[in-house]
Amino acid sequence: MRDNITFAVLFPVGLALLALLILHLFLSLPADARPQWVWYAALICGIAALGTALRQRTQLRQRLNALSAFLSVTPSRVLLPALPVRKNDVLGTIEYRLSRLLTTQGRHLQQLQDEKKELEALLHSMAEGIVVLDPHGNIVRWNPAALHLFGLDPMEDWQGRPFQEFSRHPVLHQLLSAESAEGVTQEIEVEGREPRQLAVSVLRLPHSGEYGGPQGSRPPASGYVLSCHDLTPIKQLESIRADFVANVSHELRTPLTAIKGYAETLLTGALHDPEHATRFLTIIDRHSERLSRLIDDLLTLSNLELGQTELHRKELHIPELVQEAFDMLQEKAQRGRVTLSQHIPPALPTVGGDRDRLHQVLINLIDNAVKYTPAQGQVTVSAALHSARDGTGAPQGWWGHSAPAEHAHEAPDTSVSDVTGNGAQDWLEIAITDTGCGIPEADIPRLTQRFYRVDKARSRELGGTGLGLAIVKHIVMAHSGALRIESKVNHGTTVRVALPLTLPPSEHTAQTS
Amino acid sequence: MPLHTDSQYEEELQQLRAKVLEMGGLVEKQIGDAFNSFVERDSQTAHEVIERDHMVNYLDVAIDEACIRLLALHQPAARDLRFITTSLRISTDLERIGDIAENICERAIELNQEAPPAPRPELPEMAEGARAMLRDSLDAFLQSSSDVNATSDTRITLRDKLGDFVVEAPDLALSVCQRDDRIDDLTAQIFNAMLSQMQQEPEYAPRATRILFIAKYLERVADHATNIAEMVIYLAKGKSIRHLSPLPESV
Repeated sequence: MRDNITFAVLFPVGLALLALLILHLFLSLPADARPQWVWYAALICGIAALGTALRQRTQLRQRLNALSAFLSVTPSRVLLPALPVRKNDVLGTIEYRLSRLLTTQGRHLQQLQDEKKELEALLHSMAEGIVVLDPHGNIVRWNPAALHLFGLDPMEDWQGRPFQEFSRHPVLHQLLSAESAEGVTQEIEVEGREPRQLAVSVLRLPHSGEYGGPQGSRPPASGYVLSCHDLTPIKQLESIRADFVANVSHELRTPLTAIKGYAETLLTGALHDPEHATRFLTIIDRHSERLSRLIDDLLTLSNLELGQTELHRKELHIPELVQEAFDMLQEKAQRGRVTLSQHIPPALPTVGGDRDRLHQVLINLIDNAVKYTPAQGQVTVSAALHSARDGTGAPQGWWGHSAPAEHAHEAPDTSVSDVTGNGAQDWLEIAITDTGCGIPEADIPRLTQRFYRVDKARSRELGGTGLGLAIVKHIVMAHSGALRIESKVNHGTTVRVALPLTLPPSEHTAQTS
Repeated sequence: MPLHTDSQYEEELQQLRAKVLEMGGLVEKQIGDAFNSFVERDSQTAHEVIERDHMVNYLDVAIDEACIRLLALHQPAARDLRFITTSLRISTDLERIGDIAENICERAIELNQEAPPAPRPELPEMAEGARAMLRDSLDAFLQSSSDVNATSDTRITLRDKLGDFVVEAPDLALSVCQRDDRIDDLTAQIFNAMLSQMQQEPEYAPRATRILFIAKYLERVADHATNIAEMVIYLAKGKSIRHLSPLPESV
């Protein structure tokens, strides 16, 4: 490599020395023998030396200035334009290496920033709540899920604030202060305005760098990560499951106890007493019938809930279905001296649905109406068309079909959903109105829960399984329809079933496939 | 608290505040667990609560020491002085509530050895009311001792079934004081009910007495929560509303 710097320094110095030498020779001659041109030569050499030195100095200064300017912009920029390498000398090498260093650094910085953005997006989209604390217990980082789980204002800034402000829960502070609590998951209940159950665990961030403390002792943590997982839905499901098991066993045991009791009585002698024996056998028969009805209903419901029931959709005439149901229940109604009547406009469009299932809906609802209507009462079935265009197509407060979670568990409050989510549609509404005892308003939201009975003794006495309305709700929901119950105590009840005239496309493909 | 030039002083004030809040959280849990042990007839939880009381006492002593140290070393004035004296008094009230939680557990354990008493609907309402008062008074303390700069707002967003609404910390504290009357009324109701029941069935007297005690304890919790709320108003506004009857409409 040609050394530019050496050249730049040596060249003017050499010229200056040459000038001095010439001058010296010139002066050593006698005064009259000094030629005029030597004088000029020395002068030229001197001027050239000065000029070169000045030029070199200016160039060097320019390059250093450029370098300094280049370095001063670095912090604010990530990717720099490459520094122009002017000359192939030592300074040029420095320029080149610096430029390369800064470019790689810029690239790394960019990578880090991208990673940071990724991590932030990850933190934001997590369902788990995360809070990162510094060693003094002040909040450094948090994600929206954590604020949500602890019931805090999502817009609040927690940067640098002590964790005690975030939550006062003693278990959390225990976890944070205990050395051995790492990796331990604790369940806590957060008592906000919305109580939640959370599983929380604390991770100690290892101390980075050298630790100068005594041998064998643990270095202090450089921070803590608190993660919390929402257990509320699981706990709710657990309690629903436990309730369901308890209910089922109770419902199964009731008829079984009767059957067992009477069978034992028969075995211990009543068999030979024809009068009693017949009565006992009738009771056994009635209870086993109830048992089998219960199991049928349970199976139907479980199939419906699992979505295993295939709907055989056909175009159905509602008046026909109603008439069939009336034929089946006429006798029962007459026994209870209840009048069945229908108000169905003649020109109703057909509805796409599963004949047997919708038949079951009508039977369950009309049967309920007849059961709870005293003598001289009336049960009326009416139907009407609601168009999406006149705004009556999507009423509020129905047990609708939109949230998939509804299939998984009974959540009466949340299942009242807005049906408009299904898009603008025409609806056919079937209303079953009775003049029966009515249902207290507080019970209405829970009516479609399995085994929920307003009047337990009465329902069993009338032979109900406690599953009828749950089945109705599931069938209606499988048809993308909606269910609504209106009632006034001692005046009667109206159950409305709304069925869409056209299927939503996704539903249709799902069913045909 | 405004930022102090003396960073160690600032740090100590922050630590004191964190300790008070930590103690508050612990006491909230103590009282919640204590009442649950009574409702669910769970003697195990009751014993745990009694064991945990020493942690409350420990924090009480720690807060006392921190306050005295701050007073002695830094001679604080104005808002800092109010904050330190308030902390000192709040910790005393919290310690008393901790003791009450212990008392409730003792009564619960005694009751668990007898046949279940007839449920009184007033008790859960009282417990819920007293706990809400404690929670709100601590929230108000948290907000009014909130720092960084003196102008930081002292509003609290409350989440309710009806949606979020925002209250000023002193107003929340005042609402705590106002709710105390309801708890007192419920105590009187239980007192009368238990008295007549004891007259009718003398054999119910041991249980009735204990239920009466629990009602009285809950009423005391509400009183201590009211004390805390009053101190918070003093902290925030620098004026005392203690022993005022009737309570002012606003602060």
